Amino acid sequence: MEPATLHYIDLGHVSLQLDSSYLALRHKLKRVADMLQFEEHTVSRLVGVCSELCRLPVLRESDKYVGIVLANDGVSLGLVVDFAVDARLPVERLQLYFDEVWIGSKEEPFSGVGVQAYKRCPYVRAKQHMTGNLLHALRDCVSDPSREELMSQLERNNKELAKQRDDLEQTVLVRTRELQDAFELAQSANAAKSHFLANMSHELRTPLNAVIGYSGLLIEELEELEPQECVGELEKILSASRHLLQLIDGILDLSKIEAGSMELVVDRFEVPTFLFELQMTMQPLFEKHANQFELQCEDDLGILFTDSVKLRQCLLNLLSNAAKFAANNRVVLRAFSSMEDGEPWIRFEVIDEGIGIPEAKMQHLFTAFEQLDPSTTRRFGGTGLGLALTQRLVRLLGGYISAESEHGKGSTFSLSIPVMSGAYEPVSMEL
Amino acid sequence: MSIQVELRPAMLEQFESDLLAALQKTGSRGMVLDMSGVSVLDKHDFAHLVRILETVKMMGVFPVISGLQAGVVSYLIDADVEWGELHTCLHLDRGIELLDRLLADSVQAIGRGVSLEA
Repeated sequence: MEPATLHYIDLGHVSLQLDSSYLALRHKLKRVADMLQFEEHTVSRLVGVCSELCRLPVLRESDKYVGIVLANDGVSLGLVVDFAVDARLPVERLQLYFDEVWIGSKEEPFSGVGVQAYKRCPYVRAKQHMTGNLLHALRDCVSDPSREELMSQLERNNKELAKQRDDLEQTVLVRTRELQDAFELAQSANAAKSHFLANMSHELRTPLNAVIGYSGLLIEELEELEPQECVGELEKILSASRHLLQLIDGILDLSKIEAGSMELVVDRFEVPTFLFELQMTMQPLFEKHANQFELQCEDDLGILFTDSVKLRQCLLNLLSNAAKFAANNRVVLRAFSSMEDGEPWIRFEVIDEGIGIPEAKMQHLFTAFEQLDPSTTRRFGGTGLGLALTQRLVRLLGGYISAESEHGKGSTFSLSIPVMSGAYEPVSMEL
Repeated sequence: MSIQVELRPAMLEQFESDLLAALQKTGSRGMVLDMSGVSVLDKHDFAHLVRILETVKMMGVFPVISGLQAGVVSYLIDADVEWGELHTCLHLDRGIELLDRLLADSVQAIGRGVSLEA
């Protein structure tokens, strides 16, 4: 039974998690007992029995602790070893070595489980020896890590380091693979660019050679030819020059977008009026190929705040493709309003009944530097950059483009942009 | 041999290995184990020590333990440990005297044709 007048001061505890926990307890308990001036004889007995109990299998499986507590009965100091474990302990063994043994004491700082064994220090008077320095020194005895605890910590640190080393090796492997993949991708992109440049150099040289050739011819024949006989050659020079300019413009625009330095000039315009002007521009081209061009646009489509020049460029590209690859057919430009994520958008659709696009080619439709079909390009003209450029311009306007097609039956290109692509006031923005 | 440090399982294993090797090398017929420096010894350590000394005896060497501290002995008695046929004494000098006597008795027994176990 506990003396009612005992006051307790917790000095600390020793965890029982390790197999060598009993060695740490021995070391600390001996230091505390020596400091409390127990006789050597008593220290050997107390520490011996506590060490023995800590080595019991039931305690070695426990994740609990042994507390070391200072007791003060007002006259003398004492030592309490608190076996705070939820297991049966040989109380009778402890009774041979300690003055009193309590079971499951609920007094602060005990946890209410296990066994507490109390031994009075006969030579240490509470009033005389109970000082702050003594208390501090006793707590240091318990808190200072023992050799076993340090070794255990070292072992844990080594394991952690080994794990980090293994993780690091794994990370390095992963990063190396990623770098390898990125390198291969860069090589592939580089090869594609070289391939494009090789193709483009032919495309660029051809009209340039035509300009040079016909110019030279004209110079030689100028004195003999009548003025009206020069018109044919001059028209050929003009056509080749325009084609060359178109090529160069496409390459430069694409490069500018890729470099992130394309400027947007946002303005405010009526959509029906914009589309009507577009129709007027394209009408001659459609008539040239005997195609019928139809504009389907709601009258109340409203206003767009975006770069009208870029949008016009995109729609002209789509419409000229539709006109180019179709003859004696109907091409429709539809425009209607839609909502996306609660925001107003405008959707444009260019629908043709032309040659269509094979399914195998669809995935490369908007890829730059990839020719859809070299023979088609040479037959119908064009730079092979139009759709790639259109896609990038649409993205700059905050929208997206998609295509559906059936080979031999025709295609539908859809372009959607938000109504508010930019600020209210016309402003030039460098992206 | 003298143990002046705290006993640990790894230390006891190393001690056993070193002791047996030394006994074999020197051909000793007896040894005194001085335990005066050991202030803490629980029943598990003591059992390990006894096993070591049993091994020594099987090699034909007389083991004697000297200098066990009073507190250690008191604890071991209350722990009801198995002492076996261990020879113990108060200190090293007494240990050597005891060993001499044991060896002398052994020689006499051999002379009389009596087998005297270590």
